[in-house]
Amino acid sequence: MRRLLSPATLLPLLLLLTAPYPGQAVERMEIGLTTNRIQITSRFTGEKLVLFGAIPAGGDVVVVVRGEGQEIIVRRKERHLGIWVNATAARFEDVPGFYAVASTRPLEKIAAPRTLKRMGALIDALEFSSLSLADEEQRDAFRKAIIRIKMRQGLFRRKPGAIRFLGSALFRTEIAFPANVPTGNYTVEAYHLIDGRIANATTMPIFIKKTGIERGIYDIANRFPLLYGILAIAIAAAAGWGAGAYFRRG
Amino acid sequence: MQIYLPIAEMSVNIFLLLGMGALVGFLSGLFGVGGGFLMTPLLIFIGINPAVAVATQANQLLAASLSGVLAHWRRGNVDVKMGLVLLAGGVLGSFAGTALFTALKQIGQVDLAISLSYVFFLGTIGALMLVEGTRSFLRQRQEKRPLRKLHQHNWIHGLPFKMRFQKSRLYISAIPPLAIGFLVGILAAIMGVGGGFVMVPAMIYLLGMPTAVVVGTSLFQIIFVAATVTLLHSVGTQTVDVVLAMLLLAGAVIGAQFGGRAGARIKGEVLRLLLGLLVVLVCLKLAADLFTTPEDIYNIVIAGRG
Repeated sequence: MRRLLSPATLLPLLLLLTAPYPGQAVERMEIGLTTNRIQITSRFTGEKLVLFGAIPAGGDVVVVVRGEGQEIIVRRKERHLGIWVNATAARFEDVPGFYAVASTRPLEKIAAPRTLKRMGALIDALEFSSLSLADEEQRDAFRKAIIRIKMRQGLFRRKPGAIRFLGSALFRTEIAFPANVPTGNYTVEAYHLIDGRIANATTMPIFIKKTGIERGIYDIANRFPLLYGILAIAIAAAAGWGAGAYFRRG
Repeated sequence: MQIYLPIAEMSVNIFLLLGMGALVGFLSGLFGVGGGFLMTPLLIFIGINPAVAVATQANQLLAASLSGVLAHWRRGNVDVKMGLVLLAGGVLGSFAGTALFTALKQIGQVDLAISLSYVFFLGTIGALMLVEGTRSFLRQRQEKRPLRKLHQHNWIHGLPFKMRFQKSRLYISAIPPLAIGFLVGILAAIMGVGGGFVMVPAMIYLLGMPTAVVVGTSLFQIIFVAATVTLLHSVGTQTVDVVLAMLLLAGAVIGAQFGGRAGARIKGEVLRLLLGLLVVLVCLKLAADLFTTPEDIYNIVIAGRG
């Protein structure tokens, strides 16, 4: 991307941002999504949303997608009598169930680490609160393990260069949610950066829900567990009886 | 074709599940065992959360043993009275087992407990089967087997609370069947298995039941133990996935029919040797996993689940 260093170009831009004139094509960054509702059905294998947007002038765009916070237990295995056993455990609150960062260029070229960290764009620097571990070093090792495992599960994603410009102002990117994506209310944050500084930011929600029969089964299992158990027994009994009776004739 | 499992919360190929069901069903038809001891490790292997694998397997087991018991029932090979005594122990055992399971889950040792109990039981039973199988295989070649007494009298016959079991032609204490049932209930709750591989030898060698009624009676009691475990896991851990259970079952009933036909053509001694070999192999694989250095020594779970 071109760098807009001279004050001559920056000034009108700042004016544009601070005092938006109605009727102008794009005064501040705007974004849109193909849909903000993802429904998990029995055929769900993951879904891709297209995010598109426009910025008033050059610069970079960073998009951060955040899932709902979950309480996570991390365990570290140790060798006892030759067997690998879960030993130390720590509880972390508010670990996002999903986290994706996309950007127009490699992050280190877009802004200083401090700025990136404030936006939550540096996945490796994400902090999760924990009351369990007193030892600073140990806690950091556990924190890194969460990030490493979530990346491996495809639930934390880093996509530098995944945001493409179509022309000078329009951009587009795909946000891919894997099949194991947790349900909940998500937020999409888009940042427009110029010369390493946040010029503009905007946010949009995404809702991921189970629906149809999947939703029904999940809801009954969690809200009426006794009924669910009885139904599970009835279904299995009917299926077993049916199969036994059918194969006697066959 | 992928299908999303609502409780396991993952998307799995439907044909993979049907195939696994068919394979395990074939083997269970072939050898006359439940096959839970193969299914639970297979489910964990394809990435299903161990807690979901065990609880769902118990639900599947209920259907599988019900369809299996029908044939035995028609032939009159179910000792209902013995079954009920075993069941009384089994229900107590499954309460104890699910409580143990929940406690282990809280301290993060449930996976280890599942693996260790598999290694222990499969190792013991597999080794016994191999020894016994080889012995009878050799003996059969040399001479005709001498007629065995109906059953041996041992310390078990000295225990109090005697009961008469007409179908099994036994007059024994209710304590050993209660204890066997109790153990099987625990196994069903923490391993997701019917425990036929423990119960059948125990009924023959410890109780001295006639072989003809052993399988039917063990299936009869497993139905109710599996139902109890399904209910307890549904309420306690919310880990029973009915969609997964039904897919496995669909594969299993079809597989079992072919397995049963194939089994009729192979000699009993050879079958027992093969089953022993299979059990030992599964045990060795699970044991190896316990000893090899894991890819990542850290693991994470969402609190409140698995």
